[in-house]
Amino acid sequence: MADWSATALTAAQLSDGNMQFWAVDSFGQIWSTWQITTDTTYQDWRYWQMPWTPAVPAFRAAQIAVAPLPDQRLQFWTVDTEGYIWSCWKTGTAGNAPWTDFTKSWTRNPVTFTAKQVAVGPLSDHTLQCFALDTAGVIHSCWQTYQSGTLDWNDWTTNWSNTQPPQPFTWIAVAPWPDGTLQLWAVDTGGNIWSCWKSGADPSAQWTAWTQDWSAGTPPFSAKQVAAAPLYDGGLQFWAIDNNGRLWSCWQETTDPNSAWTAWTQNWLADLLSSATVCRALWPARMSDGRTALWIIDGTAEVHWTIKLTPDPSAQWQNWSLMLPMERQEHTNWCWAGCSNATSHFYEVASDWSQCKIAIKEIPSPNCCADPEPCNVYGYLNIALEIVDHFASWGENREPDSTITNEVWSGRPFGVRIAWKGDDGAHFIMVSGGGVNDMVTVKDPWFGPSYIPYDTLVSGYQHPGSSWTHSYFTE
Amino acid sequence: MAINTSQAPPAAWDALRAGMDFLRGATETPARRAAFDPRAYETWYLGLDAIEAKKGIAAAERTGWRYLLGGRVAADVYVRDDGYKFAGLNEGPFVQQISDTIEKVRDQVGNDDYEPRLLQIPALYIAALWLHGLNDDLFVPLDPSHPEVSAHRIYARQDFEAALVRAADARKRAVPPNAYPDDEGHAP
Repeated sequence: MADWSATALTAAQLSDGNMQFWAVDSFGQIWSTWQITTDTTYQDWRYWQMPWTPAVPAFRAAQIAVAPLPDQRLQFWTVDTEGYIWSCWKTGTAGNAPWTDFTKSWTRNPVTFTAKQVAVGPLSDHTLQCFALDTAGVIHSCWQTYQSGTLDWNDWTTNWSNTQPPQPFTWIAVAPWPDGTLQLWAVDTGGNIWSCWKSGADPSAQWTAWTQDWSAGTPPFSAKQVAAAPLYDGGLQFWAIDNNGRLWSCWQETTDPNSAWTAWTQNWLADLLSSATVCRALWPARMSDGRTALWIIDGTAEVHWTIKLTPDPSAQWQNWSLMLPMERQEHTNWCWAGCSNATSHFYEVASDWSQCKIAIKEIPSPNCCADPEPCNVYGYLNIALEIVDHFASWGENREPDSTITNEVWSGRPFGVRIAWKGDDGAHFIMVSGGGVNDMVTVKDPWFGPSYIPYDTLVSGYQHPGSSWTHSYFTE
Repeated sequence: MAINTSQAPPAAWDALRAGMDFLRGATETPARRAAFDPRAYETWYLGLDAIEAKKGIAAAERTGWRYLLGGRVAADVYVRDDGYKFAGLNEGPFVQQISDTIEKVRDQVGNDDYEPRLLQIPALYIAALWLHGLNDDLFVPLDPSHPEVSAHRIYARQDFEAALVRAADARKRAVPPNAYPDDEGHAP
């Protein structure tokens, strides 16, 4: 298990197309990771960072949300444990532009209610509308408007819809239709999912009346938390966590704004959560290549995620896998350093190990950081894992797919040594996902992420002649 | 000059469809199913032993086809004695790069026609766009690459083979100073 307990999460696309992901730990600290693209080459997610704003926030976060401003800069919101809404935003339009510090003064007037949750969605002109649920279950809203050419937030109001909401609510979510019409969902204290939406794509369009009849039928469960996100073609998929921690979904049958929704199902992906797995929180988001991803926090506070196999809205989802950020190995023979360093940063989000620090211990040579080339030599993954204190055992054998699934759902990435064909040497990789269909998720410090049949991992990883020779358990 | 992708054989296409259909599942919504017509490149493998024996590119083995499925995702289909087999999906650094590299070098490679291939030399951590022509072969290593082989540079065949030999020699020297006399074989 990772050494932290995730309690809330959110994600959004940076202006350069890479995804940034945030999670709150049990101490109210907000950690973040984002995808790495160097020289237009995609690699993977970088290690968790905290703080990712200039200063460490002076509050304990409870809930978080993020959305793109009209110029594609991200703005981030958090509700702290005292009910204040803080915000920060990118200072420039570049994907790697720094963030501002958090401030409570991001709206024209201060918040006069005690907030519990915030949700933000884009209107059709890309300005944002913010919804905040207070501790009494009332939804407040404010939105951006251009005043004298300047974009500003108007005052908070509870009179943003035309009809009296069936309050109190316990959770809210918002997402745009393909034509830009915004839809809002709210869970009441009885677990019913209510919804209303803009009556047209125009940002000033009125909101419809609240209704429970927005989906194909009454949900066969009592909802606790909900979220929605567009698939590649813009049509929405909706998810709900029920009171037992089960994950349900339905999605629009077409991209028509008036499209019907499919029936509610738990079988929206092949790799169902086991009966022992409880889902505590979720967040969906569409990646820059059009595939939609979904992150969840399970009952042990571990983060798992799944992603569509391809951008096709009808594509299947990958099996659940651990959030194991894998940065590229820094030298051609440092797969052992890349894998062990990623494992260290998975188990300890604040790990200060680096690949060259591991090399200093493993080679051993004191100059592997200052002059790494002489240290670019073969290494042993079991020793590297021992160095970072996350080695459990290893064996000169392959493990069955069921072992991989068990390790992953126990929160433990699993190491594999791949021998290239003939006497061509070998390469270390980590496995972060298993499950149904005998498909496994591989995190590779050189060749990037893969989703492959178990048989390919046994024989044929990267080329038909390779073979799995050794297994490494971590802890 | 033209860089023309060749057509993957129907059996490879069938293996890809079978693999993807196997992974398709209960979520299919026919009205939202996208067209499926991915571009494909032949994939080739060159072993370290062949490079060390100075057999050159002639020793490369055809391994199958890589289909670009859109976004950052590619699907590999291997050719085997008994036909083609779906081998999985990859979204690593070389997926998008091969198409990007073809576009970058299209105007720099003379007047001949070439067929683009993906050459993989995993033992040296090298993947390269292989432009196979009737009269010559050109190679453009993708990023990241081995230090002895420059990413994005267009190599003539002889130059590329020489660079591979240098990379193989460098690899031989990559034995750790504390090499284990009782090595049980689990190091690269």
